Amino acid sequence: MFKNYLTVSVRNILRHADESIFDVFTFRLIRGDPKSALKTASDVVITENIAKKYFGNEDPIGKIIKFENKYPLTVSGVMANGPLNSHFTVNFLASFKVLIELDPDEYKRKMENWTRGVDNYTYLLLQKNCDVEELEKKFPVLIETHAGNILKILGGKMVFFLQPLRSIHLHSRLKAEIAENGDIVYVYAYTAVALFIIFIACVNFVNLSTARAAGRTKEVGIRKVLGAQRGELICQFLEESLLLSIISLMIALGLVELTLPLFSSLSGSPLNLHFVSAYRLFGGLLGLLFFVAILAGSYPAFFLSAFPPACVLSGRFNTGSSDIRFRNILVVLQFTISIALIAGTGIIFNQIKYMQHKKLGFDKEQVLVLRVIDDSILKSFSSIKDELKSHTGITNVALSSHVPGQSPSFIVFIPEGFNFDQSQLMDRISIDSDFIPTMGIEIIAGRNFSSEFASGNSQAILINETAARQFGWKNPIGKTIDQPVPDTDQKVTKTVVGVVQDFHSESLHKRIRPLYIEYETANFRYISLKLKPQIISDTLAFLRKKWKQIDPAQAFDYFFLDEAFGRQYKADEKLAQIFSSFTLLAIFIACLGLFGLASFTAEKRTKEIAIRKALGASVSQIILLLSKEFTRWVLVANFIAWPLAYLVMNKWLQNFAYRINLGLGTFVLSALLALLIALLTVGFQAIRAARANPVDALRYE
Amino acid sequence: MIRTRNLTKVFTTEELETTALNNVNVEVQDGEFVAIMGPSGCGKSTFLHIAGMLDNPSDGEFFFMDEEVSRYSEKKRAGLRKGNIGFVFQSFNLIDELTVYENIELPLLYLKVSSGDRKKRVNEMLEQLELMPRKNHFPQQISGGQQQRVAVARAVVANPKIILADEPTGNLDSSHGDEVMKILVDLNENGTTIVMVTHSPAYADYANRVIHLFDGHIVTENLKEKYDRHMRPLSEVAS
Repeated sequence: MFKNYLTVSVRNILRHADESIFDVFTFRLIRGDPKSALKTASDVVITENIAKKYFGNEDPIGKIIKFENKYPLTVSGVMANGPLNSHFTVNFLASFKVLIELDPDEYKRKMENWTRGVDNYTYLLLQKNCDVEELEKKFPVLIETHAGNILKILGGKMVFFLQPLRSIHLHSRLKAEIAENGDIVYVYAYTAVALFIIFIACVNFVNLSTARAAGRTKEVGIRKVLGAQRGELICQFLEESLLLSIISLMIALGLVELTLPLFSSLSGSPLNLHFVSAYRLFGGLLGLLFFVAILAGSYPAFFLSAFPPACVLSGRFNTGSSDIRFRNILVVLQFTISIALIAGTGIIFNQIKYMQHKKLGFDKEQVLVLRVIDDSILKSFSSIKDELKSHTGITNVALSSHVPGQSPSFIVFIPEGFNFDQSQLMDRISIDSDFIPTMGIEIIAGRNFSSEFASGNSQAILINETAARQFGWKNPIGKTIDQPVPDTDQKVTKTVVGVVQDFHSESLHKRIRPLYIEYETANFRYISLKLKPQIISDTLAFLRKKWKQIDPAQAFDYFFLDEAFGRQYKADEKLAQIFSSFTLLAIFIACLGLFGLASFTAEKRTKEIAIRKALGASVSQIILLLSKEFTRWVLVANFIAWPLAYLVMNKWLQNFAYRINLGLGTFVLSALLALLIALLTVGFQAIRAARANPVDALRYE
Repeated sequence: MIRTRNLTKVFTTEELETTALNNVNVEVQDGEFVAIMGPSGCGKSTFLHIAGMLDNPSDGEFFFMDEEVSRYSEKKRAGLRKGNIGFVFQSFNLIDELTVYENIELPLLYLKVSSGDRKKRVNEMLEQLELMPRKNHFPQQISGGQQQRVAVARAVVANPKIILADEPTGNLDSSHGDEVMKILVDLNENGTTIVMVTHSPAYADYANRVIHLFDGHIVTENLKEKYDRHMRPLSEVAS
């Protein structure tokens, strides 16, 4: 342990920037001077939280922090904690100069050859009236100046384009984003579902208002007799609708405030009402309020106010079959949305289940992974490996540059039989001879890397089935693949000694790509240990102790492969949870409406039911009579819901390279579920009406 | 006050055409109390609806205060109705969601009478018709007689020129019916024109004039025999 240093891992989010970062971003320094805080290579600015965590009440300025035992930095400033909705988060902000000092030759190579990889994120603070398109037109000249020659040699193309900062989080889907991005598609999806729910609620309001119309016709007739104009009545009904909407909005805001923490944990996004500026929120809500009030209140207002007073008062008015048809259309619409949501939720859950259970081509269970920070420990690792393997709880130990679940490097290669112009992009990983058996990957042709003749491994490679297929190789063993050496005319040629069965190194969103597997010890970054399931806790205790001997400076920071791999589906699982919550809510609201309608219908038909019973109808016949009126419309709703759900979900499934087939089963189940829900909802009213005493009902008149 | 010339009203449905009124000529002077009698379906209520401009005739003319209004739109008719015509119905037709006070106040709201004035006039009505103790009750909380008194109060609060009463005592027992008739008579004595439809010869006697309707016609002397024959018991007709 180092008494004068604070040692932290780079997982604490260390970023490097040049001095102009404080001119471009609005990081607020509460200690230190933004003009000089990152002046030297040894400067680091920390956040308030970090200062409190590591230094408590002490002044952190001047304190030294050592990152991963590599380089010490001196705290030169403290910045205010950033808001949750920042473009990127940073705990430690060091100067760019330290990277230059650590490896000046590599830095020089990267500056001279832009094709050696892009490690930086460049932000431009533009003038207010800057024409972005005109600026972008200048980039090709810049590229030609700095990388034109090398691009000609490689036959490649480089494009720079500008992205507005605010649109990156939800709209950018580039490789190696600075932070994990959201997806605007989910925002649209949730918005669409929310609008559907409001629509269903408005439909309920319209339906129930028109159903109650019979009871209010008398009131309308009387008001007209007393001198009310149609316009006054329309205003009255719209005002009623507006008042109901205002009360609903108040209750809704209260509910949002109460349930937002729950929704935040469900969605995995730290949501907060204060994200939206007050005037935008207020304006939006006001607009929504009037929209809902007018939309929901219009039909009853215009419909009820049109009743002619004479007809109403003399009992000649009948709400008519067109009114009933309209209500039935609304029921169909409500249940179309509900059935589509049920089907959508079912498909999402099925796809997730498929992804969780699909054979990945490797065995991720009971694999513990440790990250190698200090690669000097790998020099004598073979003896450590033997020691680890000797423990009863550990069946195998492997080294690799990547583990499944991480994006491999993506490199240009020239397989045998291809020209330079036909070079192929392949994923590249480095593994030792224990990796294949540790991960349970199958070799379908040739052999694995040799553990006995390790020196021969440097010229050997393995490829996967996809690579063999893509190159058109029926017998890949013995074929060579060249890797061009950057900045030179040279190449590294290696020979295929084995072909592995395809395995998913990334999530099932992505298709398996050609894979180049080499044995390069310098690239090893991970230690994977296959554990026996029965004694994991004992094994962990052993490993924790052992790790202190292997790398004393580094904390025993491990993860289990299955959990890490599963995290790739976090967004999809969140989508499933939220979707199912919304679906339940939509169904609940639709059922409320159906319940109310059934109640009014039963009340309206009380005399008819009594007469039918007096004439000999049984309770079950009455229940059937009342139920079928609604349930047939629910069945009709399926004809609209199924194609709608199919189109939308088929589009969503295109996001997955490996996906389920959309069969009839899910749709049929959704239909049956919706029918069951409708029957249960309507059935209660139907049974009550059917069991009523006919005498009471006849006396009602 | 009101005058009709060859007033005709035909109701047409998909399969049926019913002539409710057929060339009816009636004149009601200011301050008169006219009763309209006739069997069910003879067109009494239809006549009253047209007189109250709740409906338009199919043919003929209808004059209200010397203005021919038979082809007026509903909007114009509503404008004329306000403040000029008060209605009293057999089934009271109070608004169940409003209190007694609010029901009586309603016509004044549509006339845009000021708040203070409304309060004064409504309270006067409540006192006059002995409804003050019930002013905050809802219609379903008061008796039939009281409900009809509320309806009369509502009809009268705007000081209309004419009151049209459609079987005002039809749903009341005799004592309550007498009560309501007394109110109507008092109003008439104070100058309000009243046209009342009734089945009761006893209540019709309160009126200055009785018009008999039968099958949409006003029964004149040459139709009176047919009317009398219709009203005789079947046993007498058979013989």
